[in-house]
Amino acid sequence: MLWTIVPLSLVMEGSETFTPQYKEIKRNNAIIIVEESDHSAAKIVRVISTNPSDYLHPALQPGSIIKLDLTDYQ
Amino acid sequence: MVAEKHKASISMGQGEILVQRPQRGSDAVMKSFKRHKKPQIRRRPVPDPPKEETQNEENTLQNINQLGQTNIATLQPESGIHTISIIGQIEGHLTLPPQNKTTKYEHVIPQLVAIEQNPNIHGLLVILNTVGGDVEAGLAIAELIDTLSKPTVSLVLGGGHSIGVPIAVSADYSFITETATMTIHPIRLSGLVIGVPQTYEYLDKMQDRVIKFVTKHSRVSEEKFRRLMFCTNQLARDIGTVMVGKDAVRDGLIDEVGGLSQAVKKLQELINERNQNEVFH
Repeated sequence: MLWTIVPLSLVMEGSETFTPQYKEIKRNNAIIIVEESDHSAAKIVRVISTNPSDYLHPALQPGSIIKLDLTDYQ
Repeated sequence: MVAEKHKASISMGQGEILVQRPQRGSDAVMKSFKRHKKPQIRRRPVPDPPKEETQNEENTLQNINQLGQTNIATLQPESGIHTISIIGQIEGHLTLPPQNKTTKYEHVIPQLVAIEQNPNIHGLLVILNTVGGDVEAGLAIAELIDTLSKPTVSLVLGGGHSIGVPIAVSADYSFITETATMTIHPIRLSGLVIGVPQTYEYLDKMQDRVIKFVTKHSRVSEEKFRRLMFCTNQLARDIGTVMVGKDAVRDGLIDEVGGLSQAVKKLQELINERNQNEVFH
């Protein structure tokens, strides 16, 4: 349910063609959902952790670029 | 326009940082090495720029680019309280289309197991803003939160609908914010519940499981809960009840109206209580 002055058609625009490739990796005991940009780097989409300090970690801020290593592909 | 301006100044800033870096192995240094057989050791080498500062600066730049803000806060020492936020649909046996925001069963369950086992974690705060979802996954999460040996407090923000209700009541103590709502309605194949083909009998049994769980873990009676569930004059196109903040507390579903500070304070109290009991035993 959305309550907004923006028409629903504008809000949902492109949602059918939006198919990002997400990947789950582990950092600091947290699950990080990333969008791979190339084979060595990825952009952080979401942090999943029970530890509140993981959400304040400067390197794990959503949107920042994270380097992938070999263990991320296992 | 403004964003572009920012970008320009940011890239200029990065350029300046690069220029300031000492260039090891540069031509001048190499020449001096060649001229003297015994090169004099430079007493005061040009210091490297503090690595941490450059790192921080890069992080800040990235944050401004991505979030439109600088670093949020510095790291605090471990508090011993961990938190799980249950947002959007609760996803279980079916993977939902990508535009749905989901809380996945396979993410939450291992976290709960880790919380139970880790001696440095003393309490769990469950924050709910969910529209419902998979009944079995929701009940599984609720059962695990209920059987966790450590103190748990739940806080319903925004919405805790359908299968969010058993999760909210599964904690040792539950809070709801004044504006948050909880919708109680029957389990069906349409509406807010994600359905897989099942017979009516099976749905009815599933509903009984939810009702039993909720009535066992809150002050609401089975009769009252069923009445709320099958109420016909509340929802426009459905049967059921929408409860806002205080209503949920009045009907005994939730323990108290409150926000984040009350929830954390209560959790701290429960942790202290538990620690004291351990000392005496």
